[in-house]
Amino acid sequence: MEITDTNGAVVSNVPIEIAEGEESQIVVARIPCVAGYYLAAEENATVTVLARVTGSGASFADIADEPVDLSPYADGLVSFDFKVSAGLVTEMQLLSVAVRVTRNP
Amino acid sequence: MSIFLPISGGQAAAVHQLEAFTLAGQTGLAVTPQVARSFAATLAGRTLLAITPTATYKVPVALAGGTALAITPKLAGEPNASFGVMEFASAAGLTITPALAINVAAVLASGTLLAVTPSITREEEPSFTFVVTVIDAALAAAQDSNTRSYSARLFANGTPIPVVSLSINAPPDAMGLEVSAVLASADAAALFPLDAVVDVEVGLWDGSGFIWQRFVSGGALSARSRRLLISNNLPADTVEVNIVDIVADRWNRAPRQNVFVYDPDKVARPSDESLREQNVYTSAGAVVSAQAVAVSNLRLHEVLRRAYVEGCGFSAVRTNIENFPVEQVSFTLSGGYDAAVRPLLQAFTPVRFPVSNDLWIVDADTPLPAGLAARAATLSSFLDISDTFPSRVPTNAIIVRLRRETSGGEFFTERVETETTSTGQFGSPGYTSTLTERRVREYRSDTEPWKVVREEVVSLKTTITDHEFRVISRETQVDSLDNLGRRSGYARTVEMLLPDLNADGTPLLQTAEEEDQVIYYDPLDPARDRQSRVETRTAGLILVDNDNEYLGRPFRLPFLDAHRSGQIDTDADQTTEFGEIRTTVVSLRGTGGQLQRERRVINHISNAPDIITVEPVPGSSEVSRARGAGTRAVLLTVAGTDGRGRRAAEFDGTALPNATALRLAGQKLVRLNSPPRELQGQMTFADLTMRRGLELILAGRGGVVLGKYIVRGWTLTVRRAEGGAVEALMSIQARERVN
Repeated sequence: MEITDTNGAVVSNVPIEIAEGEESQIVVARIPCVAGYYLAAEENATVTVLARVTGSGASFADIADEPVDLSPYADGLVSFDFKVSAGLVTEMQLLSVAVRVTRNP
Repeated sequence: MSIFLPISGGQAAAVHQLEAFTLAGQTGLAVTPQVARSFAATLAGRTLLAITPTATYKVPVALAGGTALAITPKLAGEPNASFGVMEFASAAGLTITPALAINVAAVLASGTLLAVTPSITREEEPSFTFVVTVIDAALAAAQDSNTRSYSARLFANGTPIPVVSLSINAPPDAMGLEVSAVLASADAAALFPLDAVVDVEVGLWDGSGFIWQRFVSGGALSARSRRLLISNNLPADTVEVNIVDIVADRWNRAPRQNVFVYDPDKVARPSDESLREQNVYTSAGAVVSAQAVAVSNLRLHEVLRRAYVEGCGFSAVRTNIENFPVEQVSFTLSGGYDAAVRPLLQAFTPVRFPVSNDLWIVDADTPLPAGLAARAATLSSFLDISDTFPSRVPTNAIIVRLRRETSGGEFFTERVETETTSTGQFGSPGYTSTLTERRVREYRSDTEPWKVVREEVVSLKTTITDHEFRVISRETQVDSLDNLGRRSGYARTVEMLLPDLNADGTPLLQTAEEEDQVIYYDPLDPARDRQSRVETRTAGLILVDNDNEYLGRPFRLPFLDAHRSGQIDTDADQTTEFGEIRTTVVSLRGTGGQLQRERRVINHISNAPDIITVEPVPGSSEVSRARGAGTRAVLLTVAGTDGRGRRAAEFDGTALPNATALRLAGQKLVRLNSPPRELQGQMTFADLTMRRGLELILAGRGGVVLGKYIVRGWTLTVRRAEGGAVEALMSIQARERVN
């Protein structure tokens, strides 16, 4: 089970540069969905990872606070839109935030 | 009786297999797998055996006459618990229900305490990671400004120290930063005690004040030199300090004792005697015992976690390198954590960099997600770009060294040693810094794989840079050894900063010489391993002087000789070509303690023998063969590689599983024929957001994309220029991304 991009290539690290208070461009990734698993992101004080099902028209949700239950999509490969929202900082910061398909969000 | 229990989940990919489940004297075991990674088992004809190991990859349990065993090892917050081997002799009514914590104590019915120390292995979850650079508004605005003004400052124990010049170097293949600074006053040295805690900042003027960017926090003084001189009849003393970034340099740490981590399912535990040999004694006589740690299902990510998180103190290791099985790894007092792990990683040529307190080890050739653009860089950002296609080695085959499963002989792993030396005064013309990278092959025996039996240096790379961190010379020598562990020659490449005759003599890093050596052994006496001939062919740049004819043809001489003797004239009709320069053949004959050594040098430019010497020397040409090589060699060819190549390169895959080694060897073969380009660029400004691992798309003239690169290292120098203004110079080194 791997997370892939729209070309089927495995996604491992996604470098993003953003100014404070702004949002990044949208990155689309295909998520392998299994019943009982959730799509979740690590908590981070400076940046927030937002996601929604591609084409759903739904608003983006903070998946650290509200992990997405993947059970309704079980056994499917579902595309999600991701973007990163940065808070305010007093100096440049380098951060890493993991996005996981996990049973323990 | 051993039973392997496959557990199937909802998806085909989620199939797992338990290790041997041994039930001595029991029969009729029925297993009903339910969902992924959990199952219930019923022991027919006996008391119920119920195990609910949620998300546990394996629970090897040996029961001898057991009844009524119930285990529910679901640990709170840990989705994946592996309990190692639990053996219960005459167990009755055993119940283990750990709610939390790693150490589990179980009470047997007889009242004996059974201590179980399960290792916790995190479940492999599909994931990816955002690496986010958040740039504060003030820095972003200052970076966008057309006029830039810089400053630099040092703090020693919080006290500001004025500096004349300061240079920060982020060398490739390292993680920390190196800082050199010339202090504004010799008196300032007094403020710099040896145990000073040093912070380093570079400032960018935003119109009203400096925006300071901290590069080193909590650094330590590594060297200090004082120069006393008189200039214009006045004292002009200087003090230079070097600072090491000890926080980021944690990867150099070593354990407090020798630690051997091994997979008990693959290799035997080191004997007590061999462990005792690895003990170290303190001056007070106390023993620092070597430790053997068994980890079932040992894999790369677990090894990295033990090395860099438990050992070096990083919060986490982020890597996209596949999680292949590892048999054993030795964390030694002398080698440290990093040296133990490098042999496992070096085939991937990863880029390493810290982000916050996480350590990133990235195989830079994995593609970025579709639609995601890397940072765009244009020519206007650079004063000077050198985009080099490294020396190509047309090769149509590669010999892959694989470790035999059980051979009873020797095998080897490799480690990389680096050292830096400098001469002259930092920041001044004449200053050079020499970086030496040495790859050392460590031979080990199959019976005691944690002990190094002997060592051989197999490659040496020496890079010399000048005071502006330009590469002025790079020499790479790769030695080869045959299947019997005998030296079979080397390939050496020398690149130097030499005048480019196509650009009015502007210095350009060019391949000046290439040398191949082949060592032959006496085929008539294969049991003795007698060296019979050494042949060394040297090719290189040749200067062709069309204005100066000799015997009716343009005069030709090695370019290096012409450069050293000042015969290069950019106004004359001179060109360069690459060709054979000389061949040296040394023949060895004789036995009985005396050799006849004959040396012939053939000059291919003049087509005449240069030197012939014949001399008797005492000694023997016999070499001692390594004990039964424990490797096997596989010849690999890949469609699309250069069929004209006649060489077979070598790939060391002894530290890797065979399938991974063969795949990486195939990649290396492709890269030998089409190596990734290397970029060296001097920027027009100092980009304070530069970092190792940064992805760049570089556009050349007319906006044509030159390529995608990943930054491997950079240097930033802030100094007072003539006239009093402060200038900042930044250069970067980057490697082309293959994907």
